[in-house]
Amino acid sequence: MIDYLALKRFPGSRKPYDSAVHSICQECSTGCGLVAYLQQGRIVDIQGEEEHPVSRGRLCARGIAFWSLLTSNDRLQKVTFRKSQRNEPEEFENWETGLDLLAERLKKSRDLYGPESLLIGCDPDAGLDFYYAALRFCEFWGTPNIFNPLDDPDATVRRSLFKKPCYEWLSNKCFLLVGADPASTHPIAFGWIMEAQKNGAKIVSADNRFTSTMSKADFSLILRPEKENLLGISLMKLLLNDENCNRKFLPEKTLKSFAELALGDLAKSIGVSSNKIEELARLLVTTAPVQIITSKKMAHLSGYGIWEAIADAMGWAGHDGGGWYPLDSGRPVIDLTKDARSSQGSYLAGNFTSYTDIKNLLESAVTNQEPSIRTLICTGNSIEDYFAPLAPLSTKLDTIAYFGVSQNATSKLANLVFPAALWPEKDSLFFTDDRRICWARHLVTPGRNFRSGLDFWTGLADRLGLGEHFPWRDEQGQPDPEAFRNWILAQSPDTSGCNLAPIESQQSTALFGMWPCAGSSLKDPVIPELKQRESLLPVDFLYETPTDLDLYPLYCESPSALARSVVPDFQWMGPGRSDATYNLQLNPEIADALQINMGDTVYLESRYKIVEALAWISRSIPVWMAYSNRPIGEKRVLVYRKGDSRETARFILKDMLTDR
Amino acid sequence: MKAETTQEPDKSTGRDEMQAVSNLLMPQKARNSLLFDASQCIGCGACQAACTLERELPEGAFTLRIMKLGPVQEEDKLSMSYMPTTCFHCERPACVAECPTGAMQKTEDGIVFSATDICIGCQTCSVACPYGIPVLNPLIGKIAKCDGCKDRVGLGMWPSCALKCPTGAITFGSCESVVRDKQRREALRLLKMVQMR
Repeated sequence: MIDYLALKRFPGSRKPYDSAVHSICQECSTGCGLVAYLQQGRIVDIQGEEEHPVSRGRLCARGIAFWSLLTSNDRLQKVTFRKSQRNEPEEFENWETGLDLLAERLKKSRDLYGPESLLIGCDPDAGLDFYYAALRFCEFWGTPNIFNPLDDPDATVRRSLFKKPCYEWLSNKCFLLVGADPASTHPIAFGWIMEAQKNGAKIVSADNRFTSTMSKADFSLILRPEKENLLGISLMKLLLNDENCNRKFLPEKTLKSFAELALGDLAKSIGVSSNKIEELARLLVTTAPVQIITSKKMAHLSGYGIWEAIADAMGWAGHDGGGWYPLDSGRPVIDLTKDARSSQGSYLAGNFTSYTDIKNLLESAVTNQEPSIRTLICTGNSIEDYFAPLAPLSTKLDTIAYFGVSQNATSKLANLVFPAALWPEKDSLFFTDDRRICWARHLVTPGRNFRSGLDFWTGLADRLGLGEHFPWRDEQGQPDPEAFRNWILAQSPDTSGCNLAPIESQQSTALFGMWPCAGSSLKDPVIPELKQRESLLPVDFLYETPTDLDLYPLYCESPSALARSVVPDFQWMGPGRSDATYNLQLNPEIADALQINMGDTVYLESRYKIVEALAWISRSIPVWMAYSNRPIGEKRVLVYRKGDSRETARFILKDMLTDR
Repeated sequence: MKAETTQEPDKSTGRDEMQAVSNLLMPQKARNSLLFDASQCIGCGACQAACTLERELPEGAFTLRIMKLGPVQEEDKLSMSYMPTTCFHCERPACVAECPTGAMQKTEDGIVFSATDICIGCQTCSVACPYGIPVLNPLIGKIAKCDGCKDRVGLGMWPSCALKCPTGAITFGSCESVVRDKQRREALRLLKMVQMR
């Protein structure tokens, strides 16, 4: 037997410091422990928390580099106002003036167009308190129009899902990663997957392009975009024939539908061969139980429930080393408006959790003679990302108010800009992918002009006569984040038993709660009961809109628009430096056909936009895709070299991509 | 790892001769190693960010670079790997030999570093280095390069890059211990593969 002891680590900081703060990194939903070393209130060093069971002293690049944004020149410093995009912004001395103006504009807009003319967009950068307070504001203001791209459309279904934390994955036998690239997005969690691989686990990766995760996989498939759930359907069809599959999970009608499906058609739609899917099914059966990890973007596509169904039917759910582990916000379902005054039911019952819903709202807002949306309050670079269809309407909106950290395309369009406090500047309630409830201590004190989301919405509510619905105040009548935090936890049966006090009093971050919990801060999770499925098959999976395919033959994907300004050449790995705003990765076959070389200037054209980009040829990208470093706001695009004919390019691409 | 005392002094340059004689006469400190395991590297950039923070470097001045190799086509599959690269702390460092001011030095335990109080930022070392490792820190006009976190190691700590790496692609210890660690991990992996079959 080999006696193995890992090399002993010796952590610490060599820099002079006068205090060390233990906290949780909130750059992603892994929630790693970190220690920030401060000298006179400024961060001089950041190290990992060795005792933290998830991160064990490790940190990824974001968990190390976040501090630079605190003092970056890109950071918004003051509340500003401009009447229109033609005017220069005027700085306000304080938030109060900005909030007064925003409240006045909201009242006018409500009087003219009704409360539902307000649309709110929340991204994670603004913090959980912004989102929860915004939900509450919406309910009492009277609009369902609030969207958070991390929201899971079926969160109520998944609340009882048991998720083993990543530090318990070492003895797993197989990981099936679909649409997820944790090597890039959650490196610390991926470190555990690689540890399990050293113990003999298989890594299977299925994604739209060749990713870092795929480079470490034992088996991989490249799927056509938005067909990830179809892979699940195909696998279920095959796994239903396996002796370990419990067919009683599915109604007879559904079983019959699966039997009638042609694997060949499914495979063609997905973009892989039937043999490959069969090979994958055999691998999963022989290495069971399997842990299926799926990405957030798939939650918004039809047929997402298939993954839970597979895990249940094959007996992997609740089994050590198996089950479904969707990458989601980690948030429990919390009803923040139980005390709402509305007798007709909650406004938020109709709120948007799927991309399809929000896209429909935005497109109708843009195409109607009289736009239904007049005021936008948002965080993150929403106009370039999840609110991209609103971009043509941006000059016609009465008010765009931006609450955020740094300059980006959205802040430049905004009438009012409110500089937000970053997560290291406030004590925060934080949920992780694996159902941990964390309390993250602030690292530095924010400047006078940087405030939290709770401050923003409480200030607005006070000015609009809704202050009574934001009762969490300190003795001076100012918003009390601790009271708000405790109130939030008390609103959900999954978190009502959680007492943060023992966690807050500890210096180490190694103590945390798990939800669902009741009565104590740590409790065994509930194993979900077996349940039947109504319908799993997406209705329109085989068909795409013909017009889009003809005009814009390539599928455009990009990383989610970061709330912070994106430094273009950080992502450029071609020769020399790139000053271009857009860098575009293309498959070598496509580049060849369009006579595009590395570093050429190309046009990236969508239905609403045309931009110049620098071309980067890479085998990572399949033929049907163009991968941009920043979103263009549309999924389908045309690409052609600057100076060449777009119609010729369209013809060439259509010819190449038909039947591929 | 201690220098072989029976080794013939290299006579190619006068400076090398002096160094070789000095090695023979003076006992050397035990040497440590940073082991970079490309098979574990996922190219996340944590090591790069760690070094930037540790050395207070501005954006773009990378003392540790991650080479991306691929993707390359192998039959019907693609493959790709990453390799973090930094100063090799050569036995006969060209940068030390060419440095006009003596800022670039090699310590007894093998670390090659640049003394910022002596460095004039001429970048001769960058040209001399066959790997182009030393870079200019534009904030202070001096050379920046990996110094093995000698100040941290001197206080008994691990180098920052090795501590932060999410997958253990970078490990630190004596030359024997890092090699033994890798051998044991590989042996365990093979054993577990066989057991799982």
